[in-house]
Amino acid sequence: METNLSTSHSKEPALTPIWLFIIGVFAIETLLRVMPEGFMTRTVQHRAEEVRYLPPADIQFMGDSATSGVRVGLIEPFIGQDHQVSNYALPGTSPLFNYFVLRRQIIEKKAPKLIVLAPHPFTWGDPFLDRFMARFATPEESARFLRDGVKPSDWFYGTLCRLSYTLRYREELYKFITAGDTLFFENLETPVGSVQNTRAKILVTEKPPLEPTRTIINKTNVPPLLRSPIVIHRYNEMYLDKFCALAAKNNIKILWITLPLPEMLRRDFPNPERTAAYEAFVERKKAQHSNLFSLSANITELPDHYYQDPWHLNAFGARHFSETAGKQLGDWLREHPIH
Amino acid sequence: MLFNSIDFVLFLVIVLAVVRLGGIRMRNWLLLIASIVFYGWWDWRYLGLLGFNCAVAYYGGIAISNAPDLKKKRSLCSLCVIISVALLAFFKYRGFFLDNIHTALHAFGLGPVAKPYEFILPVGISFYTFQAIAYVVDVCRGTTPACTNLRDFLLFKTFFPQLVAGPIERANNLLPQIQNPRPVTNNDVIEGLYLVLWGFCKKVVIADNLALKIAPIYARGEFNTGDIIIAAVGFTFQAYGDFSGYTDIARGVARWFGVNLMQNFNFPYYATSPQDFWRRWHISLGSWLREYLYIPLGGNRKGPFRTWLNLIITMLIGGLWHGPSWPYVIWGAYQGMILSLHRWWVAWRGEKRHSHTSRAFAIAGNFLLTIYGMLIFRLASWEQIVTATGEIFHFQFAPDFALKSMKMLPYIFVILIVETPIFATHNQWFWVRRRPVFTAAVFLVLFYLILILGVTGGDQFIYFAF
Repeated sequence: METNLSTSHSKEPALTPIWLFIIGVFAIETLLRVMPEGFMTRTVQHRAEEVRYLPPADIQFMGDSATSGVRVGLIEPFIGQDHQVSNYALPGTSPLFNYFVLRRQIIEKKAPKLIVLAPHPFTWGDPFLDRFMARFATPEESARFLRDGVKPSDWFYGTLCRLSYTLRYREELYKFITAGDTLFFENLETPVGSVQNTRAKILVTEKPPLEPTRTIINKTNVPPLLRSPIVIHRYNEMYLDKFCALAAKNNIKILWITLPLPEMLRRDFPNPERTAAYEAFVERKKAQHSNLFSLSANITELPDHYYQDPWHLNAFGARHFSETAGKQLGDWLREHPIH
Repeated sequence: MLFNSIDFVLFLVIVLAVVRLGGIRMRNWLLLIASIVFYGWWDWRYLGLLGFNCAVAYYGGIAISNAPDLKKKRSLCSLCVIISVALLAFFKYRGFFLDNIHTALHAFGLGPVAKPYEFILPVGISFYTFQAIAYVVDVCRGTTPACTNLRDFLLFKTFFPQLVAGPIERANNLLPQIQNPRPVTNNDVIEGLYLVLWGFCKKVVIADNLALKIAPIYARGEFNTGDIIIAAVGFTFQAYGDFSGYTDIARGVARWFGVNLMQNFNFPYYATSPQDFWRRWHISLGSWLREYLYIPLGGNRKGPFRTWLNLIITMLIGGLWHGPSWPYVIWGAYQGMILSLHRWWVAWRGEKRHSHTSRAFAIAGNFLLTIYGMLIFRLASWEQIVTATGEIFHFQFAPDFALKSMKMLPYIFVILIVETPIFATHNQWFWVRRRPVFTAAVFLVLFYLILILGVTGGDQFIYFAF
């Protein structure tokens, strides 16, 4: 009988298992190409196309899924009839996307005059580079991305995500297998989220608001990221700088709005240091870029019942925030006209 | 550069290609350069420390070999060991010792000791220090000839698959393979791939997922009986997946360069006694402690009391080797204690062959001892150890205990499904030496487990901290 410590045997085998394994991986990945792409991917790609044909708006909101809560139909009354507002928030994205979206808009001559930048404060720690390369970037943008100083290993992983369906949706597959989360599969049939939709005048009635006294979030469903101090990823800072510089070169102002957080975060996870890096970061960037302004650098809060989950506002919260931001934006525009 | 990083995957692909192109004649040079890059990638400033450690062992080995008499050999060997241990103590244990002196002085109302300048722990220092000590002692004992080729010696010390977390390779296994390189065979490629895939699976699928489940319990620091069971059992398999996973990746990668590293784990949770456990768990450390510490201290040759004392001293040092922290020392003392108790038990009962039933009971009993040991190992302080131990007997379970336990089971089952047939058949290539289609299917399953269930951005390997 062979011992556990033996490492070789007499007959030298062929490498057939290795070749079969490689062929198997190619076969599986090729078969998966017939699967529909996920909702987020299709939305991001659809919005990237919309850049080419949608009429430009004067004022454009940018950010991630949390920014999608901004209802432009509720904002426009506060800023006057001569301004068009759009919400170009892309779910699951970062400043990398902002930079390349703006670049595409400038090339198409569809750039706004003012960008209201409002990503969720806690997403600055992740550039979502794999998502960017797998779901958004053109080959030319991918190559530029490498030249910008991104680590070759990150670029390599992003490219693998572009090539492999399994890698592209590993987050969703992981949640499905380990937690039974079927949202990814349910959303395979969901229509894409269009920028045009966000320009509808009023969408608050889509989902009836929750009663103000009820909340569905609590400390047990807060993800670890929201409990930890905010960090700023190097790539996010790098592409925010490039984004501001590109905007400045094209006379575009950027107005930073910090999205509010649920009160429960401070109450149940008290840590005064949690937001310090973020607030210092906003101030530093304002000092660095003359075209960057802010309405609120400091973290603000809203009651818990304004949220559908610890990250995202519900319809009730979206209406409240949109009206508050609309008033602030209107005041700011009177002091800083963009025409 | 962590094994579970894209950096390492790219690095490995490049090194494999370059070594393949360079041929067997250039292999050692290319692997040496790759090993230096690998270590420098982490922090190039500590390359000097690694170089100094290598120089002490290399020139020390030659000097010992050339020494005219045994007394001179022993003096030179002692000098090399003292230098190596001093470096290890300075870089790894200085803060720990000064902190404890400070606490002791403070207790007597005496003045504080200056807070030491905190160094970043040089990764792998415990491993390469022990490797250097083993080498000079082996040369002194005459069991290994001194290596006179600096390139080969440096590669022996820095060979990147085993550099930062072992196995603690002995000269008589690794050096001859470096001095006489052999071509890479198809077996090396196939079995190496199996080891790498299974190693990654154990690390990123099993260990890192279990870590996600138990980390909040340890972070909270408040336990009930259910928490302790989940935390202890979870960490028992996390530690195994993490460290044996690392070793398997290291062994697999080494095979792709035509090198056989020693097996570091041999189904430790099937051990029938604490002594058996240490022959199966971190074999390279267990055998190092036995050969270079326990036996030189007198082993079991000087009566029962000295045997007990030697075991306690050996395992205390073994515990401290893992890190400058009291829980590791307590864990070492615990290991020494259960080894001594087992020795007394065997002496009283006499050596008997296990029946199937008694073997099953012995495995179960020893596994319980192991789980408790792992709990001590993972807890943060003496106070937590006392609290957790007390809570075990309160028999309080949260309502979600069963659900939480069930969520850990799939990961534990993966280990059992893969490794039990290997254990039962005594054939570590059980999953590989089959029909090619079967082997390819095994590779595909492991590959997609890693791809989908692997935790990205997971912890570094636990043993990197040692």
